[in-house]
Amino acid sequence: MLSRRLLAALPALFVAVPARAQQRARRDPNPDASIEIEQVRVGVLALGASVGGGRLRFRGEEHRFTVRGIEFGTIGLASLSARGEVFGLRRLEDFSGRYAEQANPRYRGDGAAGPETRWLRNAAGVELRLRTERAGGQLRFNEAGVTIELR
Amino acid sequence: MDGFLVAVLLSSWLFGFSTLLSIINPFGIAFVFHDMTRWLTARERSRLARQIAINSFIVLVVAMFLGSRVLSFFGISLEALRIGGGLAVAAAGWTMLRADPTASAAPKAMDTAPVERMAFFPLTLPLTTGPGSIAAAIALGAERTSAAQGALLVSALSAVMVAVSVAACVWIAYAKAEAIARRIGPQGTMIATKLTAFLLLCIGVQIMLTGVTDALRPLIAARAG
Repeated sequence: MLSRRLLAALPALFVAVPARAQQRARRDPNPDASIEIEQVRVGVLALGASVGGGRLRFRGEEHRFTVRGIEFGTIGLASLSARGEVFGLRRLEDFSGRYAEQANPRYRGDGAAGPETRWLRNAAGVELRLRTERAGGQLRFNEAGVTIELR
Repeated sequence: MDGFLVAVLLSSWLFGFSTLLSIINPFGIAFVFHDMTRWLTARERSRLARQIAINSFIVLVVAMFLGSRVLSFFGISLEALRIGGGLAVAAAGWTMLRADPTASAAPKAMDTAPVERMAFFPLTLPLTTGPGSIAAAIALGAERTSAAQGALLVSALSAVMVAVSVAACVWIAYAKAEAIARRIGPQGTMIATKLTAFLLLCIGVQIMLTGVTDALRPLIAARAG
């Protein structure tokens, strides 16, 4: 009787262990890399020019990248400083690509999110957690997404 | 220099320049400068304005580069500096606000002091670069958060740019003080001086509030935890 119950419970055990492991991975707050983004924009509404870029620190090395699709500031001179962490980055090549904003990120760490924290994810499953330090105006992401390219 | 470092440079300059300009407020203080130097000729006043601008540049650069080291040597926290500096700025604003506008006698020390000597005290320190602006400059100098390669050099360059641009504004505002005062008249000058004094008082209180909030934050967090 007991052995029959054990046999019945075995499949549930096999299902439960990966599910718990997956849950642990989802809540993993340890980032794989860190990023910094700096941009300055001058202009009026849609007309204007901006200068900026970013730095990725991955496995002890610093990599430059360009970023497009972050919108901030409407009139005059505005600056944006953002810092953050990268999750799910296994290879450097996966970092480039188009990122879309995520309302429910996979890697949300406990207490890491705040009102100025935004999450982005690309097709390779890389997630960015960005905290804006200074933004001269409301920070928005382009509807087409944020494009990051390594230099 | 790539776009990232250019953006770091411009962003740091923009933040530092707007912060210091709002605290120093050279275009408002220019009325006080004009009031304190009204017995000088236009040429002397222009020379004095240039000297004050140079002095202000030196004070700001020293505060931004060496300020945090001096503070740590004496064991003074940034919060303590903000509270003390804010108190001094608020007191200066309060004195200006309460001063009798009809009392036109200049301070006795100013009557006999050579122009070069009064350029530093009291016109540069504490009138132009007072404790509030020195505290802000030290805080700006200590705010070097980026760990990116070359960011430290860019941060130093932006500090010099901030000091140069603020000093240039001081020079322009003080050199043109007489023209502005003449244009708006004695009544307008009095109103502008009083408004500036009130703004100075509020800035001083705000600096103190920031210092008190920063000092109390760990205590509140410890109690909440």
